[in-house]
Amino acid sequence: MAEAGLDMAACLERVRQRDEDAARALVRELYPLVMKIVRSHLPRRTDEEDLAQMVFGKIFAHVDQYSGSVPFEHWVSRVAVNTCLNALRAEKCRPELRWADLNEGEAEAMERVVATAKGPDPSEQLTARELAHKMLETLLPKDRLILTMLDLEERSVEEVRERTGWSGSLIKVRAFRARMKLRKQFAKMMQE
Amino acid sequence: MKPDFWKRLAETARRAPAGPPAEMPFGFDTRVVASWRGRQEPEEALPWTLLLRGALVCASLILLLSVAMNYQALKEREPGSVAIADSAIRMSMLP
Repeated sequence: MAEAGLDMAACLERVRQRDEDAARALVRELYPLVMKIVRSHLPRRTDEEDLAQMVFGKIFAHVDQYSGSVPFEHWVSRVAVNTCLNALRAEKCRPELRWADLNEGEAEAMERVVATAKGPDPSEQLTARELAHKMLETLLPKDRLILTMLDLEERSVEEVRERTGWSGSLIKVRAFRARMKLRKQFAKMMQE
Repeated sequence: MKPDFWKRLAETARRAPAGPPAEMPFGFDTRVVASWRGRQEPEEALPWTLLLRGALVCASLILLLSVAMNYQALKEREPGSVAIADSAIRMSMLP
């Protein structure tokens, strides 16, 4: 559970002086934020706890480089996003999604996406989310990251820019191309 | 205009209820801090490592220099055929 009223600046100063109690307090404070990002961009076959530990490892290894020009949580988010991106890159193969790979619920949700203008029923929201993540797994890591943030988390281009450090135009172009790829993927699956 | 299936799917997926809030597993903070401490120790040992590496390089250079300077003497220590013949002649001339 996050500690109420943690003085972030003082805590960071203590962490820089290698105070382990302060480091523990910082982990407890940042855990929900880091875990939320890790869960959104978790590669297949990767344990979320291992990835979160990797993120914290990077935070502590580079904490001296934090200049204070942006809120610490933003800096942590960027570290977490980049760590997830590297983990996604390490996952060499991107499976091609086929109709036969879908389970019964996913196939029904997919049929409703195609058949009705509204898309799947509200009861199928969780299945739709699973299906959306499966489709995103077929994209390049950067494209996947951008579409997850823009289309599933409803973040603005500016927010994605802050979290990734990429330019706004790059984000827009990549998002456009990634959506095109997904449309092609849909069309291909429907032909099967 | 072609229907945007991805948009429909993403809209529905967005409405899915969020999972339970992340509860930190017991001992996670201790593991992170232990790993951080583990990384610090090699960094602290770094000056000594550099010093030892320098000493090793210096010792190797001194060894090579001394071998080069005494190369001739070391080479001459080998008993050549002339030296053996000379020694044999001297022995035969002895009373």
